[in-house]
Amino acid sequence: MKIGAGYRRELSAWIKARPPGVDCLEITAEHFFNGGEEHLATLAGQYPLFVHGLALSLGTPGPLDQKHLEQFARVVKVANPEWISDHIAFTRTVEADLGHLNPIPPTREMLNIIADHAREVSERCSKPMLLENITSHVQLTGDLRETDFLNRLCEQADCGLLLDVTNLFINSRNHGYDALQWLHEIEPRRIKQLHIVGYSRADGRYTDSHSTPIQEELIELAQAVVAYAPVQAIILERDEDFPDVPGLEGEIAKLKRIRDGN
Amino acid sequence: MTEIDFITAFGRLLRDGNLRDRFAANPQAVAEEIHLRRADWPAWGQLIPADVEFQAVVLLRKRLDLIKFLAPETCRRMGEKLWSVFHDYARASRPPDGSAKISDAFLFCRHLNAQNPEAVVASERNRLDFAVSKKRMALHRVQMPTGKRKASCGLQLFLRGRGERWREFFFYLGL
Repeated sequence: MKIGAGYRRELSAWIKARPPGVDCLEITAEHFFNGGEEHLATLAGQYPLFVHGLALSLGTPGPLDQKHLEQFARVVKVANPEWISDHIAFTRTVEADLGHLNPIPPTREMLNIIADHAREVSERCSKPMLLENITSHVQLTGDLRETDFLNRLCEQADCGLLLDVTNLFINSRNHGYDALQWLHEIEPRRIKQLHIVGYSRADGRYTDSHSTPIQEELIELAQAVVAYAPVQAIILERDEDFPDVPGLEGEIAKLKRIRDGN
Repeated sequence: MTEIDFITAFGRLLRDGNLRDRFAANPQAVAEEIHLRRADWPAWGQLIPADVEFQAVVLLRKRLDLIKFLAPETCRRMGEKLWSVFHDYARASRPPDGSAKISDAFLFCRHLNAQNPEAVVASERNRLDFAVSKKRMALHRVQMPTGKRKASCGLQLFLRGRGERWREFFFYLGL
């Protein structure tokens, strides 16, 4: 099981120093849409990479944004990742770009929309596709239970699941359900990769600020996932308030604990 | 009138604070108002207004993060008032084209300028104004951002080449 971090410009010096325990990197595709391909090729020569999208907006009805897809495919070609990923969400509608991930209702119609889009991206990039669960402060209802929806989606799209442990924890706390029970309703063979980062609290809710250290309860949940499913990689997904090098090493050490179950 | 799907309707709700207020008062009336597909009414009726508002606030904070990047000094000057001022403005205001981040920053700075001109840093306002315009050139006299010198008079020049690319130059006047 590989351990790694989401590549961010603020972490470049640390990454360049080849920190021990970091086996791989996940790059955000959109960060390389306007240049940086040479640097990306250098990273690809130094680490196994995964390419993660933020704005393919797989949940938007209608055709994918082809310009965005072409830019995504170009990044994938340079990075040559083992797999690619994006979210079970929408970031734009036919009217506007909302600029952030938003939830989709677990309906059969949405199942077909996202499965078709995921297949299109996978075929265009010639890479296996993973789909990630998001944090949602709105609990949408539909024809299917969320876990049934995810299982059917992975089957129909022939893709894997990028399980964001933090998002699962946050949603379970905000919407009052058991995260472990949710986990055990998911087909384990589909869970290929994990995201993890500390959660935050705001206005009485749990939130995903991507800016805090991993809490112990997240480690325990992630360990349960690793014991249940054949996870191949865990990525630390820190976006803000980066700690110093000892702090980063401490976060990587937590990922090792998750992998080793101690 | 063409019916709209749930995603389009949900997107409108997340972007429009006034629509959310009407939704909280009467979800079905809003579904009729926006011509939501009948098949999507059950899901629409399950939406909890407080949850939708919280999700919408997440989007507003993302908008503000981009504005802080594009107009950092203006935002810094606002201090603790920044979020409340932006929230009150942005809840019902959004860029007309629905997508351009620079337009959002430009319109917010224009809103600030109308309420309190001293709140907006002139060089940042000029930059955003040029970015959203089609001008080939613009020249402004401004107080320069300085290191050791606190406030030097200077010229801020913008030049737009082919396509959308443009460059900015500062010239100290030494006055």
